[in-house]
Amino acid sequence: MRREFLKRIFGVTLITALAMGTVACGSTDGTNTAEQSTVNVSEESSQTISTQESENSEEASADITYPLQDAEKLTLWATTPGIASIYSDYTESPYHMGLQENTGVEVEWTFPALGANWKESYNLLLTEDTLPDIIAYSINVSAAQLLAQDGVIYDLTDYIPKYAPDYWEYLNAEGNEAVLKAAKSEDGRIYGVRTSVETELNPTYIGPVIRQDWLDELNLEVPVTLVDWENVLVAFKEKYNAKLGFVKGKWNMGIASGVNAQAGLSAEYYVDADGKIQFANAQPEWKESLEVLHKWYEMGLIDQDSFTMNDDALRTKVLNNEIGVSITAMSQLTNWCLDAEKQNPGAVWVGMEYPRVAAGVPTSRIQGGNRSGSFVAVITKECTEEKMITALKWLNYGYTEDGFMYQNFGTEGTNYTLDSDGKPHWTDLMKNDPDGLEQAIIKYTGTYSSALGGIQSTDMVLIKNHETAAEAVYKWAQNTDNSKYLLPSLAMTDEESLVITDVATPIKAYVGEMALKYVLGEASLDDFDAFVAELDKMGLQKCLDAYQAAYDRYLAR
Amino acid sequence: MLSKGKLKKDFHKNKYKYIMVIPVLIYLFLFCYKPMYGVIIAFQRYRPTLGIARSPWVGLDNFVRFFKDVNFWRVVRNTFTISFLSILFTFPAPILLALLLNEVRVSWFKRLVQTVTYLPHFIAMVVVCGLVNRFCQSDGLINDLIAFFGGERSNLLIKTNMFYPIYILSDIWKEVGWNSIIYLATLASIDQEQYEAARIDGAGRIQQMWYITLPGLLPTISMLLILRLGNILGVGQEKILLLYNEMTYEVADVISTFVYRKGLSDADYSYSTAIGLFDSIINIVFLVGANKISKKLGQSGLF
Repeated sequence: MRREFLKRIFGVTLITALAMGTVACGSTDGTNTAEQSTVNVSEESSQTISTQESENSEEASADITYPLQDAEKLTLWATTPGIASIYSDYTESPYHMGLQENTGVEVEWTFPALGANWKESYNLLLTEDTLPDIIAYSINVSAAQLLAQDGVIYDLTDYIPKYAPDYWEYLNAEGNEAVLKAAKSEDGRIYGVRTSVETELNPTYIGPVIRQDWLDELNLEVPVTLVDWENVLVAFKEKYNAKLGFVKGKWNMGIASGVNAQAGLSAEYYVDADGKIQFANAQPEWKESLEVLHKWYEMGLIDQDSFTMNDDALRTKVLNNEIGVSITAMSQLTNWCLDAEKQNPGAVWVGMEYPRVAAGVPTSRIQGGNRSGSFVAVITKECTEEKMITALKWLNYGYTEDGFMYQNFGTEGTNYTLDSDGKPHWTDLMKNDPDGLEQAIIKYTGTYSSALGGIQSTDMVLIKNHETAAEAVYKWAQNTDNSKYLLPSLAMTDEESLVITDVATPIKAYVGEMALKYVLGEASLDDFDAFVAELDKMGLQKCLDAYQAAYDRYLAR
Repeated sequence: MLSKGKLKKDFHKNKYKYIMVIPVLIYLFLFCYKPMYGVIIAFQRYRPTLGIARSPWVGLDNFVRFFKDVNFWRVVRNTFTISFLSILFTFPAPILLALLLNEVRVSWFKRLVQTVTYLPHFIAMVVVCGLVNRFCQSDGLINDLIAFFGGERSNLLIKTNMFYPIYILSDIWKEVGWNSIIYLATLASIDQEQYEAARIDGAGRIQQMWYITLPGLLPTISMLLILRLGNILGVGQEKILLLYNEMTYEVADVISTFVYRKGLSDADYSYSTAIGLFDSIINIVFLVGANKISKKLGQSGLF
């Protein structure tokens, strides 16, 4: 089955193989620890998990004991990254086989081909005649609602309290109100088991970094405002011929916070101070941020390859001292630090705060998101009801205490040990993996990037990366208004979803292109008004209305 | 047209030839005609989960959307531009190469050149484009050359005015040797006595090329040109996909790449099918047109 699938998407893979780019860092996710679930460890090292009984529920919640007995085999499609580059098959992967052992459920996994665009692979998957039992992918609630209406997936609302008790408990736990809201569709239904992240620190995995050693040599302070940034960039260029370099896909909010803007180089909607939905790219602040970038580009402060290169190419440039400032992800920063230690002694990369309008002023937007992840596991109607229940119980595992540890850290003793404070540490097996820690985590654990059902631990993210990167995250997330402006995960009606496809998608493409033209000087920012007029012509107001309506309902729920 | 009786007789006479043609007909039916019913979704708001049978009908909405699309003129214009440039530059290149090779008298050198020029044909497109990508980066090979001669380094792939040269030159590099084979084969069939006679009459190398070689090639050239014109919108979609980026969409985005993005990336199946159908209609118009013109010019048409 996997073969046939691979064959079908082979053509697509070829085309996308080089033009990857889109296989960006998946969203990450997770919260919940011991306090939220009642766990009784029984003698035989299997666990009995019982839910908190709600007073008015007619039936007592089922106890789920892992490993499950006599469970039917399941098929599953997920975008778990990297495994294809390590193993020929999931049966060789310790994480997947360990999960099977722990849960007692045999699962046949299929993945998009290595290098294939996930979104395209998912779109193609839906056109198949037979679907897998479970699909784990970034499907928003509105899309899931549509799938359920079309009779493709199960509506799990009535089953979750009973068969995924730990997930249900997590959703209803104190402090998780937003997570619960995000899990529900427009009509208040729940169509899948969603991933989430432990704290708001997890989604902030991208931010600015700088060469500390050069700052020291030049006697410069870590830049705060964009004027400081420019001074540093000019100094770096003069002294070291080094530039601001990045990978376009990881630019995200970029330097927007330096002028109080709300978007980087792509289309972005946000909530303004009056609770109104606005289009960030139609605002004067955004224009200002582009003016700065264009100026820097003209001054030769930005590496021209930033718009076409990938992480590997950037890494080479970093190692060759061609880059002095960047905006990058924790995992890349980790690579750079390790490279520097091994091959370029003296080079010191550190994370720094996002640019501010002035010192002490909160940043407007940074890379960051909600605690509820975008990835969700839905159960298709290929399953009988009985099988669906098995699948749901299986998906619940990631929300049990045991499952949380397994999904994030692997097996105690083998992959991690706990210190006296209960903090996990990788074992030597992980640290000395011939392919590096990053790959070891893909081999042995499940929440990194886009796994299914479960909570991504913040500790895991922090100990996964170089300590410089772990420190950087705190700097990136410091003193920010990001969550004030951030749109929550909204549930849309069918008509609103249509508006998004017909109007918002072309607008997004248009904005993405124009942003680059402005930076590169192919289009003049003097014509910004014409650009805004074009957006209006394309139907921007309709999108804003759709978002506004969905947002108002969200607040009212 | 054959009458019924004649057809029957012909069938009896050429039974095995008819049988041999059956697999081809099956192939054509399965891969060219059967999928055509999918064109229906151009008139629907297709959802894969509902299938063709249950998806709602929307009439010509998708076409209207395309004509109103901000990108409409751009993709049509780029498709024609790239196609035209290919005919202008890529088409004559192998003819020139064949003519030049024909003048080479040292046979080992001739063979070497032939082998070297047609080897790139066997390199997969992704690999070729990967090479082009690397060479065009601001620290790539081409920029090393530019910098050596005192020029400014710049990323060539993000410049709109560099896309066509990159596209056309890499096309010529990849295919010139392969495409020249057919011309070289034709040249081999030109009667050597003609050259001898010309030399006796005092014709130089250039004159021989102009009065003997070129006229000898003309039937082949005109045949290939008609075939090429009939496929005027057939631009190298795969190659464009691998070489373009958001900065060069302005000049590089063509109908087929737009269809690809709308269909596979945005999952807007009906819309992309409608655009694809529009593309096919233009192609048919050109095919019929080219055929008519070639018939008028006294050449044989395709149908």
